[in-house]
Amino acid sequence: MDLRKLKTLIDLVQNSGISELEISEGEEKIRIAKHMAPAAPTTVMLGSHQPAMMHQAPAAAPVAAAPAAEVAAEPDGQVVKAPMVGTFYRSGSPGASPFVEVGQAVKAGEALCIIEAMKLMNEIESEFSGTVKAVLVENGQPVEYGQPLFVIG
Amino acid sequence: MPAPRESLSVAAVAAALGGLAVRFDVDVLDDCTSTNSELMARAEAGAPSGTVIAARRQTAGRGRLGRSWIAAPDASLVFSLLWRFPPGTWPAGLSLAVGVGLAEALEGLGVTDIALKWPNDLLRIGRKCGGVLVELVPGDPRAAVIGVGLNLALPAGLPDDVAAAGLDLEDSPAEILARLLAGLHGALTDFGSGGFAALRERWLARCVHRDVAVRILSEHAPPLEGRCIGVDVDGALMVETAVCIQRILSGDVSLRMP
Repeated sequence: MDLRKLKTLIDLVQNSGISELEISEGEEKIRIAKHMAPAAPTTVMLGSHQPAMMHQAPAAAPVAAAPAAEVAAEPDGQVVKAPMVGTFYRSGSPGASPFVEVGQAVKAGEALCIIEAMKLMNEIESEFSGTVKAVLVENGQPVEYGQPLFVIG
Repeated sequence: MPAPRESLSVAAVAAALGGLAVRFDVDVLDDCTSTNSELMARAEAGAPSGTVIAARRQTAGRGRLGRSWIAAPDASLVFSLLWRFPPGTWPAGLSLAVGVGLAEALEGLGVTDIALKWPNDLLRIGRKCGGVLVELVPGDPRAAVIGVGLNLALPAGLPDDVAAAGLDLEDSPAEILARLLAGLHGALTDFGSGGFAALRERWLARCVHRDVAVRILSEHAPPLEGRCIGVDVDGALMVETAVCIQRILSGDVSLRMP
């Protein structure tokens, strides 16, 4: 699930009278629970984590939520990683449409993104054929060597 | 009116290359949308190292991230060179190494005031006279398509706020191209055996913003200000800020006026 969507859901729970929200989307299932009113809620990925036991101080809760959100954003599939350090671009030029979108079918060898460092442009191809399940980095963000970029399932 | 320049031809470039002609396979096109795109297609089809495409007129030249590059006939020299590096070469700093090769070649032609702006612009008196775009061949990180655009002369009537400079050389385009290819041959051979570290001192000797205040602009991050203290062994720009020394890999450098 898109991190922004997750953040919106967390805000929704936080600013409402709801104490718990569970959403299924394909194989992903996300539960947001607010145990300590009016503290910030936490997020857990069902199946891979035990429901969070909320004993922290309210201020610590958003920190605890972050790693869980990362887990939630990575669906099953094969991961395409950054072969070099640089800046991640989803399209060949500003304003152009991205090489791929989530849900799009790709073949091995098809362009997924560009990583630029010191004006060296490296077009990254998919090593796998399948469907783009997730784009894990936002356009224009720096990436480290080996950082997961796409999930192809 | 100056006499029209002798047009670029394969035979003239080969003659000017002399003994180095065997290292290159030069093709000259009348019109080309982008020499990099054309050469990339040939690279993916297995073209050998040293393949060169030069265009008398380029209609859709690309700079970094799709910025356009204006190439008027006879006023500019645009070409792309395919280089295949030996196993074990890592391409970090390649675009800076290309700048060293071009600067040394132009100095050999008598242009004495060439400076390099990170990562790979060529300047004269603070104004851009050449640019480079390096693209790795997808699926083969040891093969690079190196695109070069140089202003031989500036078109008349260019507004003064266009921060550009011409090279104002008397030599024929074929002679200039041959000298640039010879310069690149030397720099890329050094890069293939020793990486950017082998060319770092030569780059620093021409660096326009060494030990001066700079501002790094990036479309996706807040501006960063500091003092440029040089480049790292992989070509990363080293900027000393109020809190730490940062290694910069992307962004545009501008000199900060006091």
